[in-house]
Amino acid sequence: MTQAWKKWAGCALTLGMALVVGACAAENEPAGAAREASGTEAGQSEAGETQFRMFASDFNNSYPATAAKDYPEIQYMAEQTGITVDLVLIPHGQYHDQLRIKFASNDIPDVYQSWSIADSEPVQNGLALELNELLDEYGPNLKARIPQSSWDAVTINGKIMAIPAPPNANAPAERILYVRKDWMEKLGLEAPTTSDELLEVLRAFKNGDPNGNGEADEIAFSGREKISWMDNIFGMWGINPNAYAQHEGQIVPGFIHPNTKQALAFLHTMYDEGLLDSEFMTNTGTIWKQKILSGKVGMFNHNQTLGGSWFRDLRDALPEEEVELMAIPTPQGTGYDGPVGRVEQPLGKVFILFKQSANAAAVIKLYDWLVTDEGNFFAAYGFEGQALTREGDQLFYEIGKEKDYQSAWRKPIFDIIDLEQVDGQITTDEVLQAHSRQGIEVSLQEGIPNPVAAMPVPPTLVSQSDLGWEGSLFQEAAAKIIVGDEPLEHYDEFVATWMRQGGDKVIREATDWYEANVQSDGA
Amino acid sequence: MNPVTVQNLSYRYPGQSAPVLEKVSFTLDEGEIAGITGPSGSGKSTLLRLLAGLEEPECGVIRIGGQIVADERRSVPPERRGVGMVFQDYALFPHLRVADNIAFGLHRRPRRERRDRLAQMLELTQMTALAGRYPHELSGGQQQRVALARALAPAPALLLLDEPFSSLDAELKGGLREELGRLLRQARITCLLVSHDRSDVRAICGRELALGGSAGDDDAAARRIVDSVRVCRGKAGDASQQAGRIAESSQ
Amino acid sequence: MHATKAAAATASRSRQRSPGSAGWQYFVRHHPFYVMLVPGIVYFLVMKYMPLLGTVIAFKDYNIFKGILASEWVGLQWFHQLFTYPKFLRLLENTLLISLYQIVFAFPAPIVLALLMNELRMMTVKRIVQTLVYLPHFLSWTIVAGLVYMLLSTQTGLLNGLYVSWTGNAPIELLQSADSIRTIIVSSGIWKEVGWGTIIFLAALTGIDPSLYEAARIDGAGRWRQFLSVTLPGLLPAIMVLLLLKLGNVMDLGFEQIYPFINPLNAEKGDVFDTYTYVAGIKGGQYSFTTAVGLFKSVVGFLVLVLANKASKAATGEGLY
Repeated sequence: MTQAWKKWAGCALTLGMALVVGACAAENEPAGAAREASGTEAGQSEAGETQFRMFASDFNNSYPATAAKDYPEIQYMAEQTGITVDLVLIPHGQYHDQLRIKFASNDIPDVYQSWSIADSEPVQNGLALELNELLDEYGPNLKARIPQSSWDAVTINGKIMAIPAPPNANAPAERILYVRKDWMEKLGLEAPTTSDELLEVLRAFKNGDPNGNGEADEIAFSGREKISWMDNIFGMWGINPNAYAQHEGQIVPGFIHPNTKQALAFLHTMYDEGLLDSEFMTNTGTIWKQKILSGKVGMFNHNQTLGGSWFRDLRDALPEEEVELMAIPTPQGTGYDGPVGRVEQPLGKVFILFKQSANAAAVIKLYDWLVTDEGNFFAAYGFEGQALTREGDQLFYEIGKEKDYQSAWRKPIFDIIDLEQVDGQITTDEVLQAHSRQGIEVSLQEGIPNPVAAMPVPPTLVSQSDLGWEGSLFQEAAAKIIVGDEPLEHYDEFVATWMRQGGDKVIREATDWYEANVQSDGA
Repeated sequence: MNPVTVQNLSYRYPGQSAPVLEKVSFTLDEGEIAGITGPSGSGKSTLLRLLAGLEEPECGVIRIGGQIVADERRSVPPERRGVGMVFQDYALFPHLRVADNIAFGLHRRPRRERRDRLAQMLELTQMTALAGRYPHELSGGQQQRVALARALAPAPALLLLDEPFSSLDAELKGGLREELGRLLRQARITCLLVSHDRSDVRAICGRELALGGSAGDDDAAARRIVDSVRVCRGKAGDASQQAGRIAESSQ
Repeated sequence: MHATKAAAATASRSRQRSPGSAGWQYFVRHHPFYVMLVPGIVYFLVMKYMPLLGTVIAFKDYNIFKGILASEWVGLQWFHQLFTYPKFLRLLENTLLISLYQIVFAFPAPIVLALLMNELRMMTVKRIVQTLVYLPHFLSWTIVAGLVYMLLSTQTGLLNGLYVSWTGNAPIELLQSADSIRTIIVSSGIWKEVGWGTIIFLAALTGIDPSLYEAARIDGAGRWRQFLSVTLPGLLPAIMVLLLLKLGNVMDLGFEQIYPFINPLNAEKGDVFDTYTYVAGIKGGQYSFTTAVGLFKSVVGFLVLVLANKASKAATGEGLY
């Protein structure tokens, strides 16, 4: 009897194991298997309030290791609005890749954060929610306070496809050149106004030993891998490789515009004379930042609002040196007299909702609250006692202190607008404030117009990523020209090859879109 | 001159306090076939390994062919001793054919000599027809013959056989015993054979060396003299009166 | 007489039943074993074979929002795109060359190391050495790439620092040079995996009958001859199995091993199918195209494996199946 019982128990066990394996597989079914109304249902948080699910980048900030609904900020916002945000923060360096993986495995939120609708696959596939009616009903503050240029950048044929956030400080030329002011002063240099003068400044950095340690270890200018964060160098000739430009009536990628050749020649000169970081092709963001903060770098390219935080970081990292930082206007490239600097971005961020979402109204309501005075105040400055402190009747805000409380993630996602009446309530470190202000001022004075800001990625570029600015064609050609493995004329070969491999289609698609959507508006 | 001389050979396993062989001495005549018997653990295989050079003695001297191959100071490694050995499990190289196994020890000889010697060995062990086979394709008795041929091929000064019959069943044994004896005598080579079975030794060997104390089996075939070699199990130097001495014997 | 007739009749009757019944009876009689196999079979079916069905997207224009079934058929379009892709030959060349270097250099390395380690007599030393050589296996490639950067950087690297201080020359550019990228990839791979690879060979070495070594020594074989006659044949089964498996993976180069080292200056000689499919597939969202590339690689690998197995059986008698 026991023998038989054992045997049947054994059989049952193994069959049970088989079922478990099968069940595991069923859970992991790929996206295509069953496409019913997936995504979120009408979310009810524990307190019976509404909630929605959101993906956003962590912008390299740290955050508490609990569920999002337990973040103090999320709870506070829920108290104020009755809406809980089920926030999923994704590492900034892999944001787009992770988004794709999530979408492909049927993990669809109510809303997700991005930087434009141009490269949004949900928008391109008709899965994004049009917001016109919801905005009329639930978003009066949004409509009133966000500038029209930002709305235009997310509108396709009259349909608003995302909640836009205007660029930081409303300064659309969002990248500028920063330079070690103490080095300039030590070497008796003036801010350069032409590319030749810029070369002189860099040469002085390299040869004049401004960091005073007796070694020629200064890196005059540093950039990052993929030829990124050198936009304003290219911008001296009116183009950015990662944006579009107008040329002879057509819309071309910036790196196809002939002015690129001059920029590449300039960069080659820089590299040749040892003025450009020799590791510019391998510098990750972390390594690049470390080099700057080690006091070796004289000039670099970064966002317009970060003057204060860079100054603070430099000052803390190099206490014995009397570090000074300033932003300089982008010089004018030789033989070019058009607009210089960064191609203007009318958008800082966008928030795209999915059609299938049942909680769209909650999203609009929450963001509407975030652009009210109270909402924006909280989003920008957070809880009292962290970075925000009260001294007497003055409110003091210490830039960057949120890091200590793991709440820095809050700002890029929820602080989507700059309101004078809100910012005016705050005093902040005057020195840091002055630095930030200076950067913004410089940025406001320059910039390259961007007529195709709202353009979706041309289809040929989608199917042939090699043709993009991050694709191997441009990257390899530019890298070789800069380091001198190929002569400057190689650029013309590159352009010809690029055209032949489908680039001409990209130009045609971009130009067609421009003619259909922009020119006809008389914009 | 005696081709093999062993004097006062002592050996203990590393880490053991009791020696397994103590002051063993004997000599072998040219062409003599001697057998070593004793209970298991009495050191028979160890004695073979010492003679082969696979172990080094603690004290004592071994001479082969008149040369000292092992003493307290140095020991000639097996590669250079000129000794042949047939292992208990034959240890044939599994990836080589019979002919290549046999010719293994001949690689330094010129090609013609190698060929001739190989043919000779194959003839001697009657394996000529099976020269192209692999060891796993042979029966136990055939494998034994190949192992023997391999050991004999380089014409060593001394041939050692470790339990040559233990891998075979009883039926096979009888016939093979005769055959092995005949082969060894035909080859005219000095041999030392180890077996736990005294009847094996009596069938083939001219002399028996018994390890392990029980002297003199009363079964004295006419031409055999059993020499007893005492193995001390106490500490070295204990009851040394009982250390063995080997009387020179005659056939 | 009667009994035998009856028995014969029964026997023929049972023979006349359907042919499958004997097999079915066998199955029923031994059903516990088959039941025990079920979880394993289900695992393979569900985790390995069912996802294979997804390969169909290589023949469709897969859209993650439409799903597999609703995406359109495009036939061999992606394969055509692959073979006419201007960099296809470069990818193929880099993939095959790096694979070749790995087979020639990285495959024997654990064997050599295992042989050396086998000679160690002192157990404590042997254990310490074993632990030390196993450790790099557990590092992720991102960390190893970081270590390589710290070693080879022209500005802060250890090697260049020594070189410059000894010779006074300018530092040598290694990380951004196409000529050194393959060496860097293969060498760092050897450093990382050689220790782990010794495990199988050490186990095989201990399985070799010691009396074979003794027999060889007695017959006059020195160290080298012992190695050729006893060690190598003893290792041959393990070597052949591992070599065949490696050949089957000739087109798979481990994306993680290569991607951290690639930049536009050395991509010419370092870009392989796996890095390309990552960049184009995940970053570029071209799931179908990159599945087609993967399918192409698998087919090639499969053919290589079948051929190599046949060759191995013919030459050495060892094979995978």
